Amino acid sequence: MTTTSTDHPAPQDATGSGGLRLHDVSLTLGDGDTAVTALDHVELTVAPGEFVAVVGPSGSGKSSLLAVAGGLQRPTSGTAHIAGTELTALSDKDRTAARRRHIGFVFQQSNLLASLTVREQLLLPLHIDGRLDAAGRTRADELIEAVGLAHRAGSRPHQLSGGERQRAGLARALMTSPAVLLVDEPTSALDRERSAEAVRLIAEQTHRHGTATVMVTHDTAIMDAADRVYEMVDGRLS
Amino acid sequence: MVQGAGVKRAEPFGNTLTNAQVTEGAEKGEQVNLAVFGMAPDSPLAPKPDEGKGLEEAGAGIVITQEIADLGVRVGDVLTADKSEVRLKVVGLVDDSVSYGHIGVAYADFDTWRHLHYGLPGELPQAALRQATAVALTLEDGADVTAVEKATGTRADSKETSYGASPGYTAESSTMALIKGFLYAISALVVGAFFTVWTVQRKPEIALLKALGAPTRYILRDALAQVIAVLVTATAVGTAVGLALGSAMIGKAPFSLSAPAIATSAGLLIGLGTVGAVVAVRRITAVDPLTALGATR
Repeated sequence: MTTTSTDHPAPQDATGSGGLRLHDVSLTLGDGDTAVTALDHVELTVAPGEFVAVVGPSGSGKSSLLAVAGGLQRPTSGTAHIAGTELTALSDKDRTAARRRHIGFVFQQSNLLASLTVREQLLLPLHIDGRLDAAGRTRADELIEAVGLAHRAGSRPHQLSGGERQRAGLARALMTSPAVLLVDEPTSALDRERSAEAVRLIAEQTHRHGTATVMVTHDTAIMDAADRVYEMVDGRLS
Repeated sequence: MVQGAGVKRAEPFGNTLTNAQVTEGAEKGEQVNLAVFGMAPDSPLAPKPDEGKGLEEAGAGIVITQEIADLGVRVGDVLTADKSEVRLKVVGLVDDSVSYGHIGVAYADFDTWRHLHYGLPGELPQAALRQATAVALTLEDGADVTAVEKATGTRADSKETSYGASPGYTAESSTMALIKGFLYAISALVVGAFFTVWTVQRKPEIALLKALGAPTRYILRDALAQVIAVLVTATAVGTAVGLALGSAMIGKAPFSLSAPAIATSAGLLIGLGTVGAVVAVRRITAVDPLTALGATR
């Protein structure tokens, strides 16, 4: 853990304690004649506080990249390190634990739980981890404020606009102070103006909280906010 | 009498079904079916009436039960039995609804019963004077029933077992037990089906929770807590509705309520429902967190 201010942590070597590092990762889906190479020897290093965008058409392997980086799927070969831990070497149970402690997901269309209020959505990751306390509640309120949802804290998803849901999803992903933030098509349900706003918010939070952020999208118009942009074609990253 | 077998008292008991007509009373001309239990007026079997007099006090006559009073027969009325033409004066009333083969019970002294049972008017033949349906035994603690059976060449049953000898009792109660058994099994299936649908509908939510790092145990525990909350609430509501409807039915249909029976069925419904639900929510383990990511892989 660094003791420097979290406002603007200097990007550092991701092979150290923080960040995300994918080394020589390949993923083959299916087998035999129907096998599809979703990831083809991918190398990707993202330092804490760095915002990386991966663009590519659908079916190019973007979501597979997130699945492997987020510990949802084991790669066929290669290694994934998160905050210094080799994700690919962990048991299923430990990978689940790593997901809830070190990884924040922002899903397509935000993926909120229908029955929970915005504040409850944020408290959920801490509840799952069995460490919901006063500090957690304070953090939830701070994050709700930071994403501009203070007036919506008690609302349920069906009462929110698409942009508000996306912001709630981002705030939830940041609740556990994850080392890595993985963002899946954040703008698929938003218009152009809302998209730009959402991505700007992701960039801002990435720099403030020092997360290693990977955003995959097919929307080339929103890449400006990213520090680096990769293109993905047929499982290859360039 | 068998000595030393622990029999305190043995006495004849008779039962017979008869039709009678109200010949004196408000419902004059009304046809009434009676299950007449005959016994010595001083017997411990004799009823203790809530209204009017008992058999011993009245000397002769019948004590009716609520089942017959519900037909409009009152203490003081006189009924006349068909065929035997025995005059039955209603001397007392027992508040309980007592029926035998779904026919309301009237208690009579043994002499009256023998005339009804013989079924013809006039003097009884010698043989009819020795008839009874059963011998009622009052036992001391630790009585040796087998010795009694051996000594007399008869079969002795407990009061509860003897119910099986009443018309239709075994068939009806086994049918009811079968229906009950099926209802419990069906309720477990219905609850299982309900929670299967519930789990399938929640699949995206479960995938999301898993992607957020929730262990399967956390989700299962949460699901089971909801299952039990739903089952307990539903059973409580069902029991309350059942009690209300049942209470309204008492007197109109054979219906009895007992706390142990209610508790047993409520417990079984919750228990079997949980078993059905556990089978359903086990699907949670198979949900792949990967599906929380976009449709495109």
